[in-house]
Amino acid sequence: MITREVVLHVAELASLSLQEEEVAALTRELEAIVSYVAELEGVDTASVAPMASAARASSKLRADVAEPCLPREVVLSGAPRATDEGFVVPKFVHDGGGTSK
Amino acid sequence: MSDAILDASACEIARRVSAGEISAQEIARACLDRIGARDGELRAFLSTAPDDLLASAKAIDDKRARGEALGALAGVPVALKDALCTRFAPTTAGSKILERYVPPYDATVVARLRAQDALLPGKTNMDEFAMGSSNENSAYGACRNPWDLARTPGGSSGGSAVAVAARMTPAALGSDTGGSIRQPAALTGTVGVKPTYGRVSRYGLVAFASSLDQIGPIASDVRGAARVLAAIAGDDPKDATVAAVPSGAFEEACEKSVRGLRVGVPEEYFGAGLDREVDASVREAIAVLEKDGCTIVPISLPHTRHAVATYYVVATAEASSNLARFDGVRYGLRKDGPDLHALYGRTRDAGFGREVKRRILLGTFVLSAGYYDAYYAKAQKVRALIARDFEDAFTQCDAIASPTSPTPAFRLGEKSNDPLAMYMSDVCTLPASLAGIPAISVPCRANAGGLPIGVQLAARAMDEATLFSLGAAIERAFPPRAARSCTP
Repeated sequence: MITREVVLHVAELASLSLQEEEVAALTRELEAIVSYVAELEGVDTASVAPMASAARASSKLRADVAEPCLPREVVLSGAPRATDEGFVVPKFVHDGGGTSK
Repeated sequence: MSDAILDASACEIARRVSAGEISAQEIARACLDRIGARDGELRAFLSTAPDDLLASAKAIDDKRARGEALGALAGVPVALKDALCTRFAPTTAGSKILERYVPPYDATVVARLRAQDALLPGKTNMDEFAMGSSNENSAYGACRNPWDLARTPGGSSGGSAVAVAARMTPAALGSDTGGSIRQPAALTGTVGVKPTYGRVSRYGLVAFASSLDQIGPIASDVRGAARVLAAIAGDDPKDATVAAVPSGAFEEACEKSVRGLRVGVPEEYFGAGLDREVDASVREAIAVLEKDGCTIVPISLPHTRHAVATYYVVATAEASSNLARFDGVRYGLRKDGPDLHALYGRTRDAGFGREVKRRILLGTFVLSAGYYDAYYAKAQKVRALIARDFEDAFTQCDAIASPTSPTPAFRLGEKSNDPLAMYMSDVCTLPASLAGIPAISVPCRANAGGLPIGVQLAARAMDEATLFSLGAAIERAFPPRAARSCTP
């Protein structure tokens, strides 16, 4: 059962600040979708291994050698806020050393 | 000059450019003219890159003037879905969160098209982050179907399909996670190929669901699709999922006889909800194959009915993880807040559209503590059963024929307020995506109203060649047509 509380909790986990007017509609829509996908419960999957991917290539490891990467200024050029040195974000380490939520 | 050259197929254009009968620059200008004349009402393109296009056309003409051999796609305009990273044009993935974003590198497929001397006129409209089946989830306005402007071209690669259907380009690239190449191809009367998972590098594709995403061609004819796939396929150190198998002889396969091939017809795809005319048209295409010497084999894929639920758990779970990268820090939109968490939340609220939020929430939910086993782990097991259905079927047949979409193009707005109804339009394409096998959609007889209908053919992993042989056989019975609004 998808309630308003579930939607707000999941939104918090997903770092989505929802608009108040969206919450009721999203609750309804998610309830409908989750009720639909719940039909999987009835499928007999005893002794079936989960399939995580359709990849046929066994994951290859590349040689552990440094290769050229994009220049710093090129990477920073797409950032909404940056200095010559790096990305700019609000302070997130408190004086006590813990990270802010 | 006339832009009629764009009515030719990709292979014919490449032949004429290589032979010096027409210059790449003439084709580039014709392409821009035609986009200018036709795209105002269609909105297939989100951006065009005329300067880059004309410069690369000149480079191709110079190369030829120096006596060098040209690539397999010499002078062929190929439109690119806007989920493919390009240094020469913005890459928005149909989202406000990437408005005006210009990536610092090209996708592998983009570099490979350039290496074959293709022309890249611009980026095509799509459902935001490829989440949708009608193009109506584009943050930049829905693309329209050139066969009937009141209808959707399908999605999510709707812009790429429309570019080809309206002959603005003879070929395009799309991406297919659950049907996003094949369904719009079917709804616009074009050929669309979802290659085997692992056939084409996704480096530089804005990721949606990484265990499903695959890039592939949409083209005006089967051979054009074969040529484009051959150009983009193959091993890439930048995508560990690509299998190191040689690109098959796809074009040669278009000429190969289909006599003796066994074509399975799964009863589950011809049940309730299938439009009557789609049913008749697809059966007629199957009859064409039988007449050409194929053996038709009734088969069963018993877990088909669980594909929609399985897909919407697996794909949204992966999407919720992939889309975590859009945080307002490294690229794209940013909405500031008092702390980092508020910055993330506000940026993502302002940047993502409704369907994307819905899928992120669903994906986060099915992965969250207490629900993981019931939904996500369960869906992965049902996915294994769906894949096993195909393995069993391929002991009895070499390919599987079905409708691509249960209906022809639906009206804009018809399903946009009902997410579940929209998800059901993917019912025929999802199983092959979940199994990772290749599938093609080829036009067959249109309905009484002239709307295109597509037949879908699926084959064993890495056996795209069989799809091209069968697709070409169907195409010989139902030759390519340009969209109605584009024919005088």
